[in-house]
Amino acid sequence: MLSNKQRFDVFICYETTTALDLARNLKESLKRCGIKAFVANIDIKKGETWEHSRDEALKECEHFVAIITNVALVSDEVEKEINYAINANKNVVPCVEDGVSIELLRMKFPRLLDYQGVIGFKTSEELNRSVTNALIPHYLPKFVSESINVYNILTDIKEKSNESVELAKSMLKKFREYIGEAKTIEDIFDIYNKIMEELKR
Amino acid sequence: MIRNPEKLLLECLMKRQAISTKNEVIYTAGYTGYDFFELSKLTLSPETSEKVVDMYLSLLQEVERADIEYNKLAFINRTIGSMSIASWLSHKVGKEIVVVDVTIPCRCNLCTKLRVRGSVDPPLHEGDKVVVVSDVITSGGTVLNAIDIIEKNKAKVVGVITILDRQTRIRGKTAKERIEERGIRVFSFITRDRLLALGFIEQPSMDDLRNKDYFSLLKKAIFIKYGKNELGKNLEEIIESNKNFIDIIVTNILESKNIEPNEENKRTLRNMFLSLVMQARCKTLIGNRGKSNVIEQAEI
Repeated sequence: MLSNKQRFDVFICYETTTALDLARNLKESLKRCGIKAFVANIDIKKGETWEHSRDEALKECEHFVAIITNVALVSDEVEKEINYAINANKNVVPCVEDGVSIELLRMKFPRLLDYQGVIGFKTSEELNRSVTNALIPHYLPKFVSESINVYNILTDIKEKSNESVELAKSMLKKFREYIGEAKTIEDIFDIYNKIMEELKR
Repeated sequence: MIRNPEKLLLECLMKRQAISTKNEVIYTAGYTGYDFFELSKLTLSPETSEKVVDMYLSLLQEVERADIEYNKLAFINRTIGSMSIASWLSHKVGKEIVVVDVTIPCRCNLCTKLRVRGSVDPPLHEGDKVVVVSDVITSGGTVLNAIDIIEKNKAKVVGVITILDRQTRIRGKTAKERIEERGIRVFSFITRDRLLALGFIEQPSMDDLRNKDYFSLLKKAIFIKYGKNELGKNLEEIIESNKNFIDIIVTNILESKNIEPNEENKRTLRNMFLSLVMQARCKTLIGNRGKSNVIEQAEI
């Protein structure tokens, strides 16, 4: 899903003693969708300086997922990272574990709850699903352009057409919007047919 | 041997839109569907007829590679698309042609003889090995009818070549399977599965969306073209990660609608996503050029 130049898409911020497993699982789950996530304990290689590598990843990533556990509220590193992400206008997704006091969170990070996130997740699976769903709309254009590239390579078409990428994106956007009204898979098929009709015109 | 059938077909389609999508069409075989492949649009045009001849030549090379010997080509009078290039193809491969008339309903001996025409009399002899040339096979009825007529005239059918295998299942079997049951190999230039996966202005039916897996079809197309080389592997990886990505969207949509996220429903919705993308690509490639062709012609 990503260009080779960029190493990571998502920065996962967590407190090591309470949330390393959650971060690791989330990284794996995002990887299955072609989204590359940075987890400091895994991605900082031996011989690399911790701060330098972390700062590079923070700069590079467009999305910032903050896993907030109780201990994270008192972690200086977590605080530093969250403040950096907010100031750098990253797409911040706060994920608050069930049982974490929202009042304390608001006191510690007053701006964090301004962002749409996941409040009260109970399991690692729930966290993975919510974060992936939150990030997916950002990756839909990549899906479109990659699918079109695969098609071009298979059919030896050399010319690039932004027009078809735009058309496909708008069709998918419309499809997802219209699906809101559907109740059964047959309803979705009717919507799909309508969009196909539009494509033919 | 044509290395890239999709590209060639796409070039032809850019010039003449041979595949049209209508609300519902009735095929020669009597079945209905949503796509219509009209080869005559390609064979009757000076721009594309040679390309179709190349497609058939490539199929005949495949027949030879399969160690199948033949001395005659049989064309079916109902299929204008292939009939219109019959003599051209015959000249290129240096084989006699016969035309099989499948429209005469009478099955008496005299009519059976009248149903085959050729440059010599009688057109078919015992020991003749015939390859049947067709433009499209749907249920296989027309081709099987032609095979019966040829065999009643004592010749043997050794192969069938066709541009598009529509892969329609009748009573659980495709035309290819029905013909191959009789020991006759079928060679097709392109199948409907590949047309669908690449979005060649074909509108998938609900049945296609439910039962086919476009991601797998694309991977198969990659394997056919690139085998196990580096580019093939990279493309497969991209497809795999996109499949996972779309799966999550699809599961989420189904769960939010309280529709059971079983494999069939997931596949249906996944196919809809991919086919919308592919159709958009085809629309920009073929649709616009098609339009500009019409404008150019009108100006002339």
